[in-house]
Amino acid sequence: MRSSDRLILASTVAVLLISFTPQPLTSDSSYLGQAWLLVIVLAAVTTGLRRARLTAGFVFATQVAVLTALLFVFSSLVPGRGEPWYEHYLQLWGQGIEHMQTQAAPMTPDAGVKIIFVSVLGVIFIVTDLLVSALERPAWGIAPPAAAFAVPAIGLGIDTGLMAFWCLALGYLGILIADGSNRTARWTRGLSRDSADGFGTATPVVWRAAGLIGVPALLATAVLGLALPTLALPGPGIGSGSGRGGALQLTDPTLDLRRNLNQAEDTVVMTYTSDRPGGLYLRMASLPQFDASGWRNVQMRLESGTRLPQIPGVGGDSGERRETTISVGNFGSEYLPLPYAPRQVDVAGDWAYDPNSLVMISGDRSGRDDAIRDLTYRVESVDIEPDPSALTRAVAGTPADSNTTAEVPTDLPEDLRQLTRQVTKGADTDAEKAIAIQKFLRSSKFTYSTEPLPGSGYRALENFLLRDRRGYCEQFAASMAMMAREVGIPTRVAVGFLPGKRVKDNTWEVSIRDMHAWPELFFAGYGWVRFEPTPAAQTGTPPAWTVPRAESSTEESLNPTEQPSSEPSSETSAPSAGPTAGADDTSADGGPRWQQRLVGTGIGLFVLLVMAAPATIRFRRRSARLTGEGEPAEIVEDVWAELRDTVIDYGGRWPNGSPRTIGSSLGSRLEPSDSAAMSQVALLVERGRYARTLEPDGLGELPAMTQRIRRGLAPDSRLRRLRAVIVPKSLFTRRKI
Amino acid sequence: MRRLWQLFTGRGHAFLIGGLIIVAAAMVAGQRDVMRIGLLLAALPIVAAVLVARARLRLSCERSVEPARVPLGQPMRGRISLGQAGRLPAGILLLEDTVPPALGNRPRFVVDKADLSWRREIEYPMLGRVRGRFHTGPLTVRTTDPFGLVQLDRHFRATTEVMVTPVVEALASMRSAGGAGSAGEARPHRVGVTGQDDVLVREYRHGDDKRRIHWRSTARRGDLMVRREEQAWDPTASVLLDARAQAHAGHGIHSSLEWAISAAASVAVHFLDDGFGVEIYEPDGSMHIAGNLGQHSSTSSELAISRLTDLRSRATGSLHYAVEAADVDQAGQLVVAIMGRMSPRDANSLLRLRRNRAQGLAMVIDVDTFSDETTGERTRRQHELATEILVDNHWRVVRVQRGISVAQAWSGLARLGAVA
Repeated sequence: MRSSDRLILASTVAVLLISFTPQPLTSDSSYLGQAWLLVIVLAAVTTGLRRARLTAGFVFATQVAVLTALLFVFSSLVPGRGEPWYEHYLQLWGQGIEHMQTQAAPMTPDAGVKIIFVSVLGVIFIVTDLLVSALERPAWGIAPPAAAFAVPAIGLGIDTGLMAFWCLALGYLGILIADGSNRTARWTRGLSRDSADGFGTATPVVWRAAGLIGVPALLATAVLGLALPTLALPGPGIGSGSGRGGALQLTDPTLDLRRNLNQAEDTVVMTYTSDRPGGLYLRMASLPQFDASGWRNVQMRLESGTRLPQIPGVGGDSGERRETTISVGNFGSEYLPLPYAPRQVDVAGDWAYDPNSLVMISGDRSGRDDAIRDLTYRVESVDIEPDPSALTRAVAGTPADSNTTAEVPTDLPEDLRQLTRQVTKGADTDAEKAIAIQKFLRSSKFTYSTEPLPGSGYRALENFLLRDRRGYCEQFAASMAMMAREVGIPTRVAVGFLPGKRVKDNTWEVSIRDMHAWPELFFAGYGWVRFEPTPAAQTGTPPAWTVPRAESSTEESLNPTEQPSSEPSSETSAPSAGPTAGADDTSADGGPRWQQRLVGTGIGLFVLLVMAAPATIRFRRRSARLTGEGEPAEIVEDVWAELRDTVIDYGGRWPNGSPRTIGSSLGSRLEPSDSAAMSQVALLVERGRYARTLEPDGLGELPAMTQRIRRGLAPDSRLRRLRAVIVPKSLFTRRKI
Repeated sequence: MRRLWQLFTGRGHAFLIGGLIIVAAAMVAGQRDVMRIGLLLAALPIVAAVLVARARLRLSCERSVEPARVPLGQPMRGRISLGQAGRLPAGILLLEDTVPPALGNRPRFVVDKADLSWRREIEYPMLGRVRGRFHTGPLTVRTTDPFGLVQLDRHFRATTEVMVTPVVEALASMRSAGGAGSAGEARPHRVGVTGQDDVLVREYRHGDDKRRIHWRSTARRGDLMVRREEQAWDPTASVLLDARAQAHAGHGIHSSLEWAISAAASVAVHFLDDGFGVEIYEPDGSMHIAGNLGQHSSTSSELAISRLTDLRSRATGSLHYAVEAADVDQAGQLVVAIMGRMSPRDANSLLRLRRNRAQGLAMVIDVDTFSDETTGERTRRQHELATEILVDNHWRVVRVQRGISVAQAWSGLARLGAVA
């Protein structure tokens, strides 16, 4: 095997191994296929080019070209949106970055994220190959894979385990072994006869030695890595120690919903006392993210505490204050059921809230599912009950998280958009449009059924809205939220409980089949307002503010759910949730997002710093040499050393011999004027070394002359000039004396 | 501690320091994953050092060079036989034999087997490119690890001596040279080999040196008798070798100095084989080849070759010491001068040398043809002038240019003698 092949093979294996390490970041491992194909194609191309002994610059350029071409091919496999192909790739990147910003690990599948992973792995291969083969610094081959390793290792804030580390370590050891094999293979020379076959290729010895040294080192690393303590400093540490760092795994609330609705027995799960007539909707979770896979949770920035901040979009506590005592029975969840909008919660345990949705989540790391079981707590809340006549004139507002809640997916099917336009045709204001949508969904065209057509994401919505028009609370809430968002109103889907059944004065019982989903719409000045598109048979009359004054003649509408839907028919009355596509698990990150950004920026800066270090050192050395201060002989020697380093930087060889010989041999490559300067410098060096004294006059021009000679020595190839700046060879070669 | 530190290569140092820094930083930041990278970087050189440095080598090495003595420009073959008894260390064994650059590249090989005991024989070529005595060896064993982190050099002790001698060419016998002027035969016989009775005497004439009076014959005859002309019978040749650095040019094996030394060796061996006593004079004086060993030509020629092998060019500027030494010895009737670039002064001192000699032979090397560098016009003229001086004073002079062998030059001298 050729030595170049060996290094490329080792780099390839290292990158293929490292491709496993981002797996904790995403639930979709399909990026592996394209990434491996890409890396293997790149490796094959590189092998061919290296065998043909083409220059490093050409090989690098070809690698980049192949990478670009393949990435465009991969991006074109994703259904396009009608843009030209080159924009399509960039769009995918944008989509992927957005996905990564809004999602917590493990992310749900996304074509953009996939293309990003594939691209990054391709780039890692090229950089690894550049370091290992082109620049011949195999020891640095750990840097690019380590960067890929560090993203989950540092970014996730949890211990990614030994497997990822072994992927990195084995790949790197492979590169080192390949380098060692090459060195050993180069060692043999000058033999005319050898009793060993093939002049003693030492491959078996190399592998044996690598095993004897590498295995104990790896084992020691594994043991020590577990045994050694790590300090977790308080404050701005980036660790996963105590404190609130790290991600909390949250279950999808709609899974809870579905599971609980399917309970065979309708048991009472909680009771509460409230003085509000008609009881309270108890909200648990909020799903602000809408895309092709349906409504989902997003990454939340949690803050600890039980006194909640200002209600989003509402100026002051204008509504009526309520005090509610809730006792949860045999029901487990990590979400705390609260009436909207909560102001202060008096609850035992570790709880955190999301300031955008005012959802409270258990901060415990274990036993999260049972966080509310047998819990009794007291909530102070404010009613959000807009005046119906005023609301009709309301316009859509802009909440703090509008990048999520107001975002209409660009790939929303046209028929859904058309339907929305049709439904809201007559409405003038945003609120009227919302009311029109609710009216449309509550109309007799739609039937409540637990057996909708199968499907997920857009397809589920299309089935529900355009085809069989059968569904349950999940479909109704999702459709209304989608349509309202399409007409420009920020929306989200809330999951929780209906008010339940009144058992005594002010005491209400909520059973498991009271689980429900409803949309919340954001209006300027009113904040998040609850709507109720699910038919009256299940939810009673709609909220008063959602019905135009002409229709809302009855005042009972203020008590919309006096008779919970579960009463009339025990079998099918309970609002239930359709399956939400895709999202199995989503999590919220406990650490503020800026901290993650800080870590990311820090890593980026560190990498930049490391990459810039050689250039900086070289630059400082040069400016120190060319100050023109000090003893005349020293100035001249400094200039001489600078010229030597320049020649070496540009990939040349410093000739042997006296200063004069060197001066003339270098001068022959230069323009006549620079050549004269060169020989003048050489003469000065000679005089500085051998003459008794060196007159200091004429030394003032030396730095300028040196710069001129440096320019003259620069090679034509831009790549080599760039390399001389970024990776100055003179820093890495030991000075030969 | 210092030795332990030096065990690591540059990469080993970087791994150790970088690894420990990463471990410390990761411990403070609480990053266990990053800490593992640091631990691996630090553990690799430590494990490698333990396995490589602690291991004892049980290697045996036999070495030889065939042939141990070669003329300049001839190849040699070094042979190393390496054996191993006992377990090999974990590292990779890289072996390198020390060969002086004058003889060729250092041969290197690796141990390719991880078995318990094995035997390995290698041969490597060498070329005697520079005259002199050399030592090959000792064999260096470098123990290293496949990751390039540690490196330990150990040496065997044994070395082999190699001698690269000047080239000795066989010369045709020259009728007109050896013993010329005293006998008609090429091979002179020695006087006094069988005792002192053979001494030829004649009557004392006015002006004879008193030291030459043969008292025994005088006693027998009653008249003063003197020993007759024993100088004419003394079969001694003096070779004057111009080994001044300034008189020669060119580098290495094809320099004019090497030609001159080769010529001196050939002439000396030729005359020694013919039973002459031979002395070589170089610019710093006599080389002391004659003397007690004078009667045994084979040991003498060994000695001459050995002395010429060690000869280096001299910084002396004149031939003064050489001529002085030859003058003092007063020996022989034949002087062969092998001259580089000459000045008229050199030629004149040579003339002094020939005053007592029957024959003066000179090989004058045209030094300029041995080198690319041309000399000044003045130097050339002086050289020509010096050559003319020799010719005018009845020296037999042959001009040697590059490409002419010693034997050819010698036969050129013989032809000159025939003409004369």
